Amino acid sequence: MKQKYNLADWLDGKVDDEAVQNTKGFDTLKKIKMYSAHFQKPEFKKDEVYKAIEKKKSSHRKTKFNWSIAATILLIIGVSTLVFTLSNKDFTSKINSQETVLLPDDSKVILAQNSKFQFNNWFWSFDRTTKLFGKAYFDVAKGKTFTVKTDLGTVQVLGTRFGVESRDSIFKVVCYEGSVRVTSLENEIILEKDQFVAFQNGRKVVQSNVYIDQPDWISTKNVFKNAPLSEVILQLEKDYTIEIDISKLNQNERFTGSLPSDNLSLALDILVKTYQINFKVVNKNKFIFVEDETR
Amino acid sequence: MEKQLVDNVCEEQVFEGIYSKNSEVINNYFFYKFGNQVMAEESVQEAFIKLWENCKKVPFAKAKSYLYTVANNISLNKYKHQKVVLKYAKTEPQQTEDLQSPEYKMEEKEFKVKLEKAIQDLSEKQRTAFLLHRIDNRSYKEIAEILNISVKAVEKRMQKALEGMRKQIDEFK
Repeated sequence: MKQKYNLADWLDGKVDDEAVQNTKGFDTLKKIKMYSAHFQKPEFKKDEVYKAIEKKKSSHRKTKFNWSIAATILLIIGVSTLVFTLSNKDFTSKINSQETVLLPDDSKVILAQNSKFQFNNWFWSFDRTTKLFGKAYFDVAKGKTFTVKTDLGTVQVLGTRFGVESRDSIFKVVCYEGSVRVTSLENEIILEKDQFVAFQNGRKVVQSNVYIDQPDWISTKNVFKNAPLSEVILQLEKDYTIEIDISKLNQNERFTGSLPSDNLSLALDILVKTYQINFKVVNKNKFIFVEDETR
Repeated sequence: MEKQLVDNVCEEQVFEGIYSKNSEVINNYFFYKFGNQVMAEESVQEAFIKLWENCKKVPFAKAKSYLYTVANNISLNKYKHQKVVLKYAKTEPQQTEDLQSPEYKMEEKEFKVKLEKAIQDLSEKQRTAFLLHRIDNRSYKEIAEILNISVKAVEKRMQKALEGMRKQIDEFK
């Protein structure tokens, strides 16, 4: 093995000239060995290069650090904005009808005509903040602070029933149960049960007592226009918390008219007369509609 | 004591020490490879920045071989290689002008040019090994470490380099 790389050993000084002097072209080899040791080292600007490294070291760490933080923050902002936007729920009542909104914690909101209401579905358990444009009645389940924000003021409660109206420059709040904190500009008022306050342009104009159990604007009838019978029955079931079986009726029937939401026997009577049908009472909460056999 | 407690090269002083010990040979290795000093210095920077970025993972004892590994990776195919142009030292030891005839000087000059050309024509592998030995006075063991090959492989490269250069110089007489 040693023999194989004898020139390498000779170049490294491990063996002397005699060991390899019979190699072909030994004179040239000797010259190569001698003159190749005469080369200068490359000019290496050691200190300058180190300074450049120092510079990159600090900037590198800095930018890297900043980028990752920035990216993380952007991501968090992006995702939460997306989630927030996606989980925002909007309700708009039509100009001629009310709408009932059930919130995740069973709080109930009845929107008056031509009103808009918004809440966030996903963050509801952390933050019960809602937005209102127009008029609504709130029946709030007990829990964390429930906030209603409007353009003209804010109402905060823990669990109670109250009404809010915010339209044009008028901001009205009625408290039907418990107490609520009303803020409009700098004014802050605690409303007790059966109290009413109104602000105009942020100034309190009226504060008085009311003696009704819920706002009089809440309609006691449901209006239908060419609605499928199934939809009508569904509304009745909701209003009176009952069950109605209509499997024996013609499902294609449509209904136009209004049904009271506070008088079950009247509502049933209207349907019976409209379609010439009859119903059987199964128990207090269950009814079955059948074709009228007397005809 | 502190160095032993935290065995990595993130300490400014430790890092600088590694630089002052190893930067030159790495630079020269790049130069013998690329033939371009600017590129060599840029690559030195790159190698040491890599070391700094990974300073927490590299224990002090491994820093050198880490640098060599990075250096070998950098040199793989980054630059278009150029001819390696070397300079002879101006003062040549143990030789005084008086002792040399003009003829001898002439011959010597010719030979030097031929040697330069022969070195340029060596394969990259042979050239880097040969010049690290001749110019940087590195032992075969150190060269093996730098090039990440065995000592036997270094010896083979040296042997081939010598044979190749001898042949070229003699045949183009």
